Amino acid sequence: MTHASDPSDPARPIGQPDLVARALGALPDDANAGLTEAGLTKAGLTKGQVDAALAADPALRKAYDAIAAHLLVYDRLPPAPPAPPFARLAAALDAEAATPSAEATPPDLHVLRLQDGTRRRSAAVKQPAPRARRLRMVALAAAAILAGILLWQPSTDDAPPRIAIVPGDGIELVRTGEALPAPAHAERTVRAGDVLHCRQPAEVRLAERIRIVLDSDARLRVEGPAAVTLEAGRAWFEVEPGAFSVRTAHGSVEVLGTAFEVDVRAGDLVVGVAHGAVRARAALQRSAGEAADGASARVAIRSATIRTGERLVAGRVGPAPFAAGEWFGRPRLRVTEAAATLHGVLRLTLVMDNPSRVAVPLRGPSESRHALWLHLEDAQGLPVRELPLLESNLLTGADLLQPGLREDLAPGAKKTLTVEIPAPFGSTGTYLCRALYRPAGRPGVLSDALRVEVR
Amino acid sequence: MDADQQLMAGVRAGDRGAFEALYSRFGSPVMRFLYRLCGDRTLAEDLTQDVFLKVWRAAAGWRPVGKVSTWLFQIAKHHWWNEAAKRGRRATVRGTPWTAASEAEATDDGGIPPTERIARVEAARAVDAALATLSPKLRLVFVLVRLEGVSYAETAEIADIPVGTVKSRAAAAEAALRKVLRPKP
Repeated sequence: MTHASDPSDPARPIGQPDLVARALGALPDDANAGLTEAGLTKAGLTKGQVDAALAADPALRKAYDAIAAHLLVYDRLPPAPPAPPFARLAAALDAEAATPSAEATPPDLHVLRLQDGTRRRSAAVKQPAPRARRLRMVALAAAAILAGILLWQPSTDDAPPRIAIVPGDGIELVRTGEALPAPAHAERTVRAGDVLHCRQPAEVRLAERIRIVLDSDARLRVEGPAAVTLEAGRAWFEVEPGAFSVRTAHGSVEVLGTAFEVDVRAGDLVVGVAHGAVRARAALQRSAGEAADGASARVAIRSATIRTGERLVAGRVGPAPFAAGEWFGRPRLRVTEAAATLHGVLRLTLVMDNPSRVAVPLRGPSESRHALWLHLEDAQGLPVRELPLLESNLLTGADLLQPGLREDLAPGAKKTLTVEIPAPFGSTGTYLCRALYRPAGRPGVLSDALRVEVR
Repeated sequence: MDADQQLMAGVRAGDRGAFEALYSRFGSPVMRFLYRLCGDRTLAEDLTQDVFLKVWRAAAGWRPVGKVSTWLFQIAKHHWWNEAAKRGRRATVRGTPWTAASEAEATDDGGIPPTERIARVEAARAVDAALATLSPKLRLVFVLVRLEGVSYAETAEIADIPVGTVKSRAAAAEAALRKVLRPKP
């Protein structure tokens, strides 16, 4: 093989670019076509000319075969699918902007689980404070200074210390039994004794070392800089070293330096630990063989330590079926979580006949992501509330309502999809739907692989 | 500033139009990149959306230094890496490779004879199976250098490794693929 001295000369010797072009099928049959578009060679060589040269020159043929074998790998690749339409991204942006707590929404939980090297890099793309918020902050600060100058006078009042700052909207702040007015787009100071009631998931920081993400309808009483009471709902906690405790009506959790969640929606204390350890005090029972008289016995133990990967459910400490805290991150819920949630909150049991079937590809149309909700609301008269976390592409309830799939899901009483979703637990319906339609992180319909039983 | 940087400057200023233009320009390359890495269309779409949401949020901190595409690929790579760490490496590394695409191809007429369609599908699966044998590190370099045509220097920046390592990994990836794809006697 020799190099061409003048690429524009059709009579020149054939070079590597010509062979590459031939291997890629980019050479024209017509000598006038040229290859400038492909950018591979500017010569006017045709496919026939190169083929003739290959037939005549074994060395050239050998070189071509090597190139062809090299390129074959890439040439065989199926085309990658196109990027999703911008409308989907725009919808996500709009939803984020419409969520009052969007600015405080934490980055994906998984960022926290990274190894050191990647964590630093991820921090580099962390969302900074938006300009509007900064401007608000500046305006608020200026107003506060001005008000301070105008109104300041020596006082002996001992105002409770500020413990946290929460957004003006999205979180209802209850002080001494009365809901404080919620100024839009302003931040409010939280003091000991205040109760935070979240209509939507929101994040709060206490004393700058305790990060709390409250789920919808969670009620949290702030007892002090290092103590809260979860009155309802569930919350996720990340605590830097130092004392901190979470009390509930069903027991308390003392932090030993950790990230964990507390859930009291089922009328019981549920604690999941992502990393670190907590000590829970409640009516507890050790599982995994520690209960001497069988699994059904409930033995009162004053406290138990729950460590990474463990979960306290119904008075038992055992391996967590799913990672703690995934509910507030990007929703990639597993069937196991849906099952646990349903069982814990609604006393439903989700039975998977064949776990390997959970990745069945999506079938049928998906015109309306709200179809399932509408069905539950209209047909069954159940109070279903849509959550802001709902993603536009997740719910494809129309699939479930397809006659064929309905038969699959409901051939008998045990497979009848009858899900009661009380208003405070609307998110459970979301879990169910996501688990149904998005097992293993991809669209899917479980059909006969899953059934819902009421027990 | 080049055209991409001007676009990014618009995004930094909160211009949704500029963001849409940026997505129009880089959405497909990022999607393709992530799809080649994870082999799952749905996951790749989700990751692509995540990447651009991160871009939107992080735009205020962007500085016109270096190529925008490099920055985007860096974010995409980190996000894929993070997701893999979250789910377990295997879950996001070509767990169910291209089955859907291949089946779609097989059912798409397109004027191609059935035997040729089947052959293409089989070839795609063979290549995919070969790619699935690569370690994530090799795959990352292979996808960037060989499939996306990113320069060694840029790849080094994206993958956060020296240029020499990029070259050696690209060669190792190719050698591994060639070994797997070698016709059986």
